[in-house]
Amino acid sequence: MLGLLLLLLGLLGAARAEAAATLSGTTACMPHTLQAYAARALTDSSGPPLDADLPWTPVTLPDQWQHRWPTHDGAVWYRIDWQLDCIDPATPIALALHSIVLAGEVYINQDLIWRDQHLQEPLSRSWNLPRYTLLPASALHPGLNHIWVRVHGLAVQTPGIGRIRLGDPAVVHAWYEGLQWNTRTMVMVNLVVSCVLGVLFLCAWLLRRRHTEYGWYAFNCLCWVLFTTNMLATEAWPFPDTMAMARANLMLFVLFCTSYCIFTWRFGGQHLPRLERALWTLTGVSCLLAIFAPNTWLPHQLFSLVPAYVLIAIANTLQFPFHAWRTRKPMHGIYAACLLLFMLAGLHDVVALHLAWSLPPLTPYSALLTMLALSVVLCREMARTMQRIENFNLELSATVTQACDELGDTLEREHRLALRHSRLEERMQLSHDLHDSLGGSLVRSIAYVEQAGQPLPNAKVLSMLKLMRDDLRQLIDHSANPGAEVPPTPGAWAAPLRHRFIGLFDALDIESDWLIPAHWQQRPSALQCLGLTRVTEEALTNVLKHSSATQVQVQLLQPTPQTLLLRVRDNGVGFDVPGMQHSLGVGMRSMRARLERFHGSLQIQSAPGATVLEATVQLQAGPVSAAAQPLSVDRLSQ
Amino acid sequence: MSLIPHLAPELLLPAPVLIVEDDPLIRQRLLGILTHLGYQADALLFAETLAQARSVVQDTPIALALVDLGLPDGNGIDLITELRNSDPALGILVISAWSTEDILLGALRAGATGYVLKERDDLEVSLSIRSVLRGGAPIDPFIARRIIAELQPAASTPANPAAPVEDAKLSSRESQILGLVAEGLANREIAEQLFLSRYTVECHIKHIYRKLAVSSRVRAVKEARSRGLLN
Repeated sequence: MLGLLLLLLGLLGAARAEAAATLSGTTACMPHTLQAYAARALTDSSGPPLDADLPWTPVTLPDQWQHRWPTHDGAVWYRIDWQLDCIDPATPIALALHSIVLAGEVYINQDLIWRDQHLQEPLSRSWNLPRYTLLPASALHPGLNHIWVRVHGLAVQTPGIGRIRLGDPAVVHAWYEGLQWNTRTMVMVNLVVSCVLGVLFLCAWLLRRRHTEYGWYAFNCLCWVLFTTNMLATEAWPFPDTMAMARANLMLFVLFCTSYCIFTWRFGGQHLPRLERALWTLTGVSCLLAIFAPNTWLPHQLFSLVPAYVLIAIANTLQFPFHAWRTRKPMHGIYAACLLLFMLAGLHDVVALHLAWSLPPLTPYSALLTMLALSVVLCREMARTMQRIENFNLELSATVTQACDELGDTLEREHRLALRHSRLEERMQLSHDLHDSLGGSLVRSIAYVEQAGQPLPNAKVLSMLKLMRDDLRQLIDHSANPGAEVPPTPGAWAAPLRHRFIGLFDALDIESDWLIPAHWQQRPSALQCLGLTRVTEEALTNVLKHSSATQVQVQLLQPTPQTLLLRVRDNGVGFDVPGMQHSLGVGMRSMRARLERFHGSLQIQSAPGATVLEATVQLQAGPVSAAAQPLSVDRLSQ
Repeated sequence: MSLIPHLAPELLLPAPVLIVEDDPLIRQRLLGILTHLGYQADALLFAETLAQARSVVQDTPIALALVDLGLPDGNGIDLITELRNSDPALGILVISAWSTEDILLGALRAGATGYVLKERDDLEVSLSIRSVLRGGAPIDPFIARRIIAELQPAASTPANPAAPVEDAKLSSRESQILGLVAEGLANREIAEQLFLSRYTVECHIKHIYRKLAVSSRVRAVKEARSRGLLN
């Protein structure tokens, strides 16, 4: 938008005829009575055409000759006549020239004071280059003096010269400095700022492609920077000639206006696909025309694109405040305000030019302001995005914490379930054990008492009760030790029994002999171990109580790896085996039943002096420990 | 404690004997066993509760205590601790209905000289009492294994705060005896294997129990210090 208004200014400013060359200063020995003339140069010869045979036409400055000589490309002489009454070496005379479109040379009387580098194509560009100099006193003379300006231009490029000031150096220089500031310095400042912002937003866009408005802003700035260089360039380079440069500038202007519209829409979040497509089509056609159209099209057809795009840009500028009003977003509001401010400044400048107010142009300043405001808006958007990301991180970590908590809860719940499950299993196991050991003994005792038919002697009842007590004890020991496992060696299995019964045998002077292998060939199950323990316990208790034996031998054997044999031999009085089945043998029958539960059997042979009890257990093929080791019997006792 | 090893146990009957047991039938049973061992009824002091036991102890110095653990007004272990504190040489036999290793070990730590399960036949109970009367200490392989694990220096790392202190370390002889007990050898067999008298073996076991108590006391003091309860 900066560009279009500057361009407007340029166009209108250039088109407007203004007071001709102006005299500054009223003191004596200052120039007066200025009059300007123009005539087409007939020759290429250098030096002012002192012989006055040219068809001089009076003109007012600034002057553009395309109205007078519409097809004249080439050189035109401008002659400014002025009177000097006297020459005062102490007060030099200054000359300032607004512009020469496009290139030229300047003489004072017959002396050359400036010449542009290229007076042939590609022409130098002095169209936006104010000049200032002090006139050398030696070149002046009292009376009529001449300033000759030979201008080289193209009819399609509004050729001519701008205003000229002649007179008091202080006054002329101040005027010149004003020109310099407005036509070059401010443009330079604008260009630099645009350049920086463009690069900044280009990088922002490259890193965050999703933010297309940054990209369009960067593109807009780029177009503007390139277009602006046209105002500062003093040579046509890198273009081959003036026309090529004009086409390039036209293209840049079209692209600038287009990118301005697109940026505004992206920034405002306006979705106008059809309009956008139409605009791009127009722009594409315009660019093609700018590149390929013949030179003869340039003045009318092509340059009419400029006001067309200016109107597009103005329309866009006017629609945006309405959009901002609808969205109510502060950044849209700020941007709309900037656009309006810029428009007003531009209007002010145009009107000021039109009515020849001697007011400084506001556009360069408002353009800078707008650019900065827009940067603030975009950066604010960027900062808000970053803030959103930071907040998102916070939210994310909160979510993660929550998820972890939930996971922990789930795991805990699962753990509780598993715990409950294992507790349940344990209870089931306990029930089983109760049923197998104590329950069995109890049921058999009851049956025995019922079938007895007569009151039982105390000793029998007692032995039944003690049997159940021992079953209960084993059950308690077993379930109170959750880690109850298969003892690592047969010795470890036998140790508690051995320790306890040897004490008892010693007390009763019974000699006991324990033959236990050092290793399992195949491990029995924990249940089998417990069963064997109970059988041993029961057998030894019987020996202690009833046998009157003096020698006991306890032997554990593994005749085959799959068989475990327990043999208890004593030299006691013996008993009637079949009779025992019906009388005292509740304990033994209970043991037999238990053994049968895990593939075991119980054999008893008894005669006076030799009673042998053999419990055999079939081992399941399972985790084999030390299976390869030979059966060895440790004689732990005498 | 080199207590007259040659003396026949029936001839040495320290009196009076305190029996702390709330069940009248079991009291009757113990009375029978002790009478069988040679005690006169007037040498036996019965208490049904911890409170009664305490008052008896206040009135009469006792020579032997049989203590049940589960009593109506509290745990017998507390009483054992008090008895042990008042008389380091007192024989204290636990007569318990419950036989988990932890409970038995707790009683031994508190200062019991031995234990016997209430449910055992009279002969076994009587043997245990005789063992205590002889100045020995009943033991079994499970407890032996537990004590080895607790007191064996090799079993614990130096940094372990539970490592036994110097007083509570097992001597090599004691370790040897515990090892043999754990294998299932009876005290007589151990005596024969180590060329010791049976009474010496029992005295060793008694010492071992005492070290267990020392270890637990020292550990308690350390613990209390580390928690700032003692200075």
